[in-house]
Amino acid sequence: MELQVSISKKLTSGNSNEFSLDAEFKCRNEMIVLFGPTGAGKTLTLDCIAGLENPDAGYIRVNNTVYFDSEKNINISPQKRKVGYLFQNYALFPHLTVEENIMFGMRSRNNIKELEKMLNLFEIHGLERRYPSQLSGGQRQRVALARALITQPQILLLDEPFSAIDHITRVRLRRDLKKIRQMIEIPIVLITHNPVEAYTMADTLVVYRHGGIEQIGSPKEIFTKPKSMNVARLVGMNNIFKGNVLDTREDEIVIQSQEKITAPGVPDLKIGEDVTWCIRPDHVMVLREGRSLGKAVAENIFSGKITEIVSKGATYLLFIDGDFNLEIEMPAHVFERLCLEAGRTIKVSLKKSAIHIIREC
Amino acid sequence: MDCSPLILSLWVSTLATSIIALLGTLIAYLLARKRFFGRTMLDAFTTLPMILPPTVTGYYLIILLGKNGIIGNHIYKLTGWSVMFTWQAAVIAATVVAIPIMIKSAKAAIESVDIEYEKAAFTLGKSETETFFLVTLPLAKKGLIAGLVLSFARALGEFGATIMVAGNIPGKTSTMPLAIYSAFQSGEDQLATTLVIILTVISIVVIYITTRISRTD
Repeated sequence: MELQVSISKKLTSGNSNEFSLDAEFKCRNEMIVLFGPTGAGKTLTLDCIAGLENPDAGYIRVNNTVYFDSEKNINISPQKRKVGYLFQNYALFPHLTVEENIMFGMRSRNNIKELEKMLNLFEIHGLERRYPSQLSGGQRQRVALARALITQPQILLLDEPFSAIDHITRVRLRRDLKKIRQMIEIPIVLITHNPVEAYTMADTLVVYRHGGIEQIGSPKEIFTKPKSMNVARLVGMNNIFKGNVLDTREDEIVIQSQEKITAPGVPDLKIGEDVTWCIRPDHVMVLREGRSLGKAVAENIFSGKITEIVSKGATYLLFIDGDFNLEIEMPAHVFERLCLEAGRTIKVSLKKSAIHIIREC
Repeated sequence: MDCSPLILSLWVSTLATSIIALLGTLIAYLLARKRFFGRTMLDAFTTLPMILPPTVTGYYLIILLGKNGIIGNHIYKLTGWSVMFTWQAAVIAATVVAIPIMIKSAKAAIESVDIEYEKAAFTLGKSETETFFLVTLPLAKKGLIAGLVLSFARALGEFGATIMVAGNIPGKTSTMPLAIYSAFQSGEDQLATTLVIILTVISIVVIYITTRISRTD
């Protein structure tokens, strides 16, 4: 199965606030994650795929079925598109029981075999007679998934499935989704604004911003090699600096920023060009005093004063003022071993291989 | 005592309420869920009978349905029959005067149903009509019933428009409120009192039912 989306749509609310969506991506039997801040047009994209909203132009195809094509004047009704849609608040019908909810989309109400299969898959046996208000958040979500999947859709759309549930349910949902992905071979489109969910769930990541797509790629690629400053910020690459190329060598370049920085080589970069360079907070290494340095960390060494320490539980955030104002993230055990405290001056290494160059200024 | 005003009133109000149930719910659904040209006009127009003095509404109905009326003259030419001064006219008057209450109440009830439920039904293959009966209607039930009960009460008490279009013909178009007026005018105070008590009891029952509906889940 394959999903192909290429759509544009303008929304006008009043006269001033105009929003335009422009999205193009493809997806095979994989999980594609639409990632971006709220209001970037992610849900609108899902609604267009489901047929609940009509794009102004473009096409939406699933396999050989054309759901929408503005040139050929095709627009299949949402009822005839075979789309499984998990709404953000699940939209379980409050006046129907779990069983009635799951069977809602089935032609024959007596298809007990399929119902049993879904109850087993999502481990919701014994809840058939209950109403949605009598279920926990996680149970509701599994019922909603069962309802969407029992009709054997060609694609599955998940709108922020992680947003309204607690941490334990979240872990379980992640497991359920992985299970579904192995069981049914259909494209799954998932929406999230949480970078961790985006990274862990996606086969392919599509980064949205202001109704457009900023970057498409594997999660690893996007988290380590963002194409723009916007993407860098979205994926938590919080140390972003401007600079100017001083020298290019075979496999490395030197950038003049507040200080000189050595970075991995970038093809076709010219001396004198302005660039943006960045490094993830968890890639900044704090050096222990009196230790001889290994070759890997012996480059880009700077010092700075710790201004603030924030504990995130398993990790710590340090903010330092110095040659560069940096944000550093480190595991709690490392933090404790280093005996760090606010006000102290420390040395850090910005490992050359961890530095990423963005060529837009 | 002549029971005909009570029976006539119940008959007229019940018929009017049935028409209101169908037409009022349909108009309320269109106003709540559809964006179309003239929507605001329709909204204002269907609210008008609630604001206008009932005699004014009655006067417009005469212009529309009278023997020489805009629609009435065609009906008269075709069939030789006019709706004026028949019990059917009383039904029309009660319907027109009471339907705004239903539309207001039903529109609010339908709007309060999260549109996401309807979208979910669409993606599960249900047509708009199926979705209305399987999802929207059951979820808006409370507001719809409350609107119907209040409309029934309003229809039952209708006086001004009814006397304009249906007259006050004893045993034919003399509904309870009209009969009370006649009885009082002709000095039959005892009859008037009896009719007043009956209408009061019915109204209290109606209020009781509506509060019960809006309280229970």
